[in-house]
Formats: sequence, structure tokens, C-alpha cells
Amino acid sequence: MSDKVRCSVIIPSYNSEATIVACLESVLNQDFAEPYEVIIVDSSTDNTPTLIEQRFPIVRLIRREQRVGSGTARNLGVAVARGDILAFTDSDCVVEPDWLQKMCERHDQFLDCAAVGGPIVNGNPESLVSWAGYLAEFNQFLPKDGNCRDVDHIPAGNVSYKHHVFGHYGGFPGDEFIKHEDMLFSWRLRNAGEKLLYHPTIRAAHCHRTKLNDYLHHQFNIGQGTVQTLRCTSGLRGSTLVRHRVLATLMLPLLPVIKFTRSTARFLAWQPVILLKHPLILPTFALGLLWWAAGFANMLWNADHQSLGNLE
Amino acid sequence: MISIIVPVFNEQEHIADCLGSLLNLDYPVHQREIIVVDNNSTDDSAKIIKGYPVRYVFTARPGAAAARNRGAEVARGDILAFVDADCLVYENWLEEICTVLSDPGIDAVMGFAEGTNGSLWAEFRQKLYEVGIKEEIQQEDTVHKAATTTFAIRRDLFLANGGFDESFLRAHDTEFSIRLHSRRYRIVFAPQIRVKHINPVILQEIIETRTLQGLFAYKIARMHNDILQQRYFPEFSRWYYRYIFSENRRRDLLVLNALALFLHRFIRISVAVLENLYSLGFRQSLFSFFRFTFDCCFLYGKTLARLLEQGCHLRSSIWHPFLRQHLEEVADCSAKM
Repeated sequence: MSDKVRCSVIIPSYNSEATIVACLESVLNQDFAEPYEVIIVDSSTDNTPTLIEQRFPIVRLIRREQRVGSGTARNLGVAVARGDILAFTDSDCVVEPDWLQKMCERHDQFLDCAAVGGPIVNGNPESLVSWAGYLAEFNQFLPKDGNCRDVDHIPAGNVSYKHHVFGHYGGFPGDEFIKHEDMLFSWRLRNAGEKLLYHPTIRAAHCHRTKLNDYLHHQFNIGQGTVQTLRCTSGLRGSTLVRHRVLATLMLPLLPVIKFTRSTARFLAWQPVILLKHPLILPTFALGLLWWAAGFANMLWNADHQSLGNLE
Repeated sequence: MISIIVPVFNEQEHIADCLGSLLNLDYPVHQREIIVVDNNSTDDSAKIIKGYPVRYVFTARPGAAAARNRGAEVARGDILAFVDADCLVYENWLEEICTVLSDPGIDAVMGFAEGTNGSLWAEFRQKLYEVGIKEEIQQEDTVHKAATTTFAIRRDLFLANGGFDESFLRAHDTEFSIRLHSRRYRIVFAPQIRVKHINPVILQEIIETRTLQGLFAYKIARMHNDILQQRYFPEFSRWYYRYIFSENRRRDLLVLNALALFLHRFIRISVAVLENLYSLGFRQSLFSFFRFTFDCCFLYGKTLARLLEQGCHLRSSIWHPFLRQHLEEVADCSAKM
């Protein structure tokens, strides 16, 4: 590889042999004129590392025997990255061929913004459970048309940061966070007045969980992660609520209802056709929210993680 | 990299022009960042700022000192350049700052603020500002009472010295620069670093600001020992100052009260006189009188501070209406004294 690279693509991976090939093919076949590098930080116990070594020798593979969280994995990738721009995607995402090109164009155009990112598309639209998962997680990042705008959060599946800005804020929070470490990082940046630019045409397709069991388990984790993240932040919607445990518990039956209504309304405004075609998406989504609420309550009363609240 | 920090409190009339001039700076865009700190504004300032490609930071702590500290906290540059929201910068502003600070022997630099508006009071205020600067640079080549209207400092030095003291709602810049000066840092005055400053045009506003500056100036003076006090506040060695403000004196509240009352009445009368004479246009004599009133305000502020220090409750006092708007600030200050 050449000495000077413009852009480093960093992908955290854990037991992703099913999706990693499609992901790497899309990342390596970019219409991008300038040199870029691809870094994978892998702590899998399955066949993923051998698969990468055999099929994509050009990729820089960083192995960890112990399992590392996605935030830590991304930080490990950044530690060896040489590009001016750090682009992040996930091992279960497939990006569009002009993904890097558009990211870098925006970075050049808006020198003052810290991050550029875009919407997440559902990568496996044939599955009902996958749509429910998509609805639950990415309803704020629908690939609607529109202008570039300044947002509060961009998911780590489809985002790029300027290297020097990323370094200044010390990277993603570590493994003590179950989920949403990207949200906490976004909040840190926003709190310091940085701009996160959301561009609707920069798209990455995310393959969601298709097994109901996995989906529910994931929702439980997200519920836990939400409490953790809100505890460490201030000024976000709900961050005062989680500091008052009793009040939050009393409000708990209401939260899934609010979340359900808001997400469904957003989704309906974007693509009502999908919901009409698969009406069962909504009950699945509602079921997931029950698990989400369970995770929320679990973390709310979990004594081990109380101390995390002081971390900032 | 340079971080430009602009504290904003209810500046919806000026902020757009200010940011416009900052974005128009003749300086590489990737080597500077603009941080606008919203100090809990209640008007449309926040909305206006968000429309510009600048970093928007919020703080609820009161006072420009808190806003500037917050800006310094999130800044990424190694030089902090402060400018007020009611200023317009010249295109070469940042370049001049860089040139001055490229000399490692200079720790901080204070620029010159030109007056822009045509109101007579603003013009007078500007004249007094210029007189103040002239006196300042006559004594030695370093500045000890810098104004943050346009001011630049190295970030590590700023943080190592603890930044601005947030208990100072006014005159925090004076306090900070005196602190630096007494620690033998070098602050220089560079007239080539110029901004256009929109001075306040309402006489009452100028008077009140000056009074509060006096109040906090006394607080600064009290924070230092006798030697430094006489060095930075030579007026404290004058006989009447010694009589009124010396700590060794017994609590002579009667004299203080009488002085404060006299000054208060005098300032109110002179404001009325000034407003009336304004239409007649005796410029030069008007200026002298303005200057005298201005000095009286400063003394009045100090007297109030002394009264506060002696445990007087201003809330019930006779000068209540004069400081109505700033009563909270003053009460807050008295709690800390």
C-alpha cells in the first residue's frame, strides 16, 4: 500500500462470517480515485479471520483473541489508521459504490464539520423480523430525500470523522457500555459544539437479525444500553428521567407506547407501502419493545452499573 | 490552529454581522475554528448562530467569563482569540494575531477596538477607551488591564492559570490580566489587531456598566496585597481613598453611606444634565462633564462594593432603583465577598 492514504475504512467484526464477504466486497470496490485503506478489527471465534486472509489479503486485519466491544474495536482500528478521514461501517453492512467518494466530497466542502454520515437502509427487506429491527433502531435515519443537515447523532454503521477531531475527543467510549457507545460519542461532540452533517444520499445497507430470538435479545440489550447512555449524558431526552429511578419505573409502561407511536409515524410518513404489505411488522416491533422495556428496567435497577453515571 | 471564541448574550442585532465578518477572514479555513458560546440567551441569537457554519456551544452559567471558559474548554486550537459579539473584525485580524504571537516571548496580545457608531455617547465612550489605553501603554510595554473585546492568548497558558474567574460578572478580563501580569507573563498591546466595536449608545447603559465595573474593580483590588494593590490601583494610595477604603479604619458607615448617596444623586442629576445639554451641542465641555460623571460612576461602584464588604444590605437601601436590573448580580457578588 502507498504511504499516504486519504481515507481509512474501519470495520469492527465479531463472528461475522455470514456477512463479512459482502461487506468487504462493497468496501473494496469503491469508485474512489484516491488511495484508501481498509482495517478490520476482529475478535471472532468462528471462521471470519481465515476467510478474510484468504479472500481479501489487501485488508489490514487486526486480531484480538479476547472479545472486544465494537467501540473498543473501532478505537483499535483508529490507532493504526493513517488516513485524514476515518470512515466507519459495520461488518453486517453493505455500502454503495460511491459511499467513500461522497463522504470525502462533503468533508472537503464543509471543513468545519466533524462528521459526515448518512441513512441506514434495510439490507434484508425480505424478512419480517429484520423490518421490525430496522424500525426499532434506525427510524431516525430513514433514507428520505432532503438536504444536508446538522443532526445530533449519526449511527456508527455509516459515518466518517475527520481524524484530528476524532483524536481530540478520545475515541469511542469503551467496553463498559453495552450498546449506543456511538450515541455517547456523538453527544460528546455535540456538547462541544461540533457539527455532524447528515447527507441523505450517502447510504449503507444494514443486515438485521432475522431470527426472532436474536432480535428480542438484541432489543433487550438496546434497552439496557439506552439507560447507560442516558445516565452519562445531560440534556438529551430522557436523561433526567433515568436519574430518578422510581419515576422512570412508573413511566416505564408509557415509554414503549411513545416509542411505538413515534417510530411508526415516522416510518409511515416515509414508506407506508411496506407496512401495508407486511402488516405483521408492527406486532413484531411491539413485541420487541416489550423486551426493550425489560432491558430498560433491568439496567435501571442494576447496581453494578450505577457508578457509570459519573463517567463523562 | 486558532480557536476564535465569541461569547453571546442576547445579541440578535449584532451577531449576524459579527459572524459574517469572522467567516470572511483572510485565513485558511482549516486552520481556524469559530466557537460561539451562547450564554443562555433569551432572544433569537441561538437561532441565528445555528444558521452559520460555526460551532455552537451552550452554557447556563452566568457571565461572559463563564462563556469564555466554556469556549476555551472545547477549543481545539493552541491559540485562543476572543472577540465580542458586537464587534466586526478586519480581514487580516487573525493573521496579525498570528504574527504577534509567533514571537515566543509574548504570551498574550490585546488588540484595538475602533468605535463605529455616530452617537455622541458612543463617541465619548470611545474617546475614554482610547485615553485609557494611552495611559496603559505609557507606563511600560506590557499591559496589565487588558480588555477582552479583542484578545488572544495561548491555550495551554490560559488553562494553566485557571482561565477567567467566573465569580466576576464584570471586569473579569481586568482580573485575569492583572493575575497574569503579577505572575510575570507578558501581555502586549498591538494596535494593528483591529476590530470595529459597536459601542452602547444609551447613556444610562454606559453609566450602569461603569458602576458595576467599579464594583468589581474594588473586589479585584481587595484580592491583592498592599504592594500589588498600589501597583495596579494607584488611586488606593490617595488620601481620601485611604480614608474610605482602608481596611484598618473602623467601620465608618456613615461617611460611606453619605458618599454613596451623594454620588448616586450626583450621577442621576448629571445624566439628566447631559441628556439636556446634548441638544445644545457644547461638545468639548460636554465631554469633560461626561468624563467626570464617568469617573464618579467608577467611584460610586467602589463605594457600593465597600458597603457590601462592610455588611450593608443594598436591597433595602436608597440606591435600589439605580441598580434594579443588576440587583441579582450585585447580591450574588456580595455573597462572595
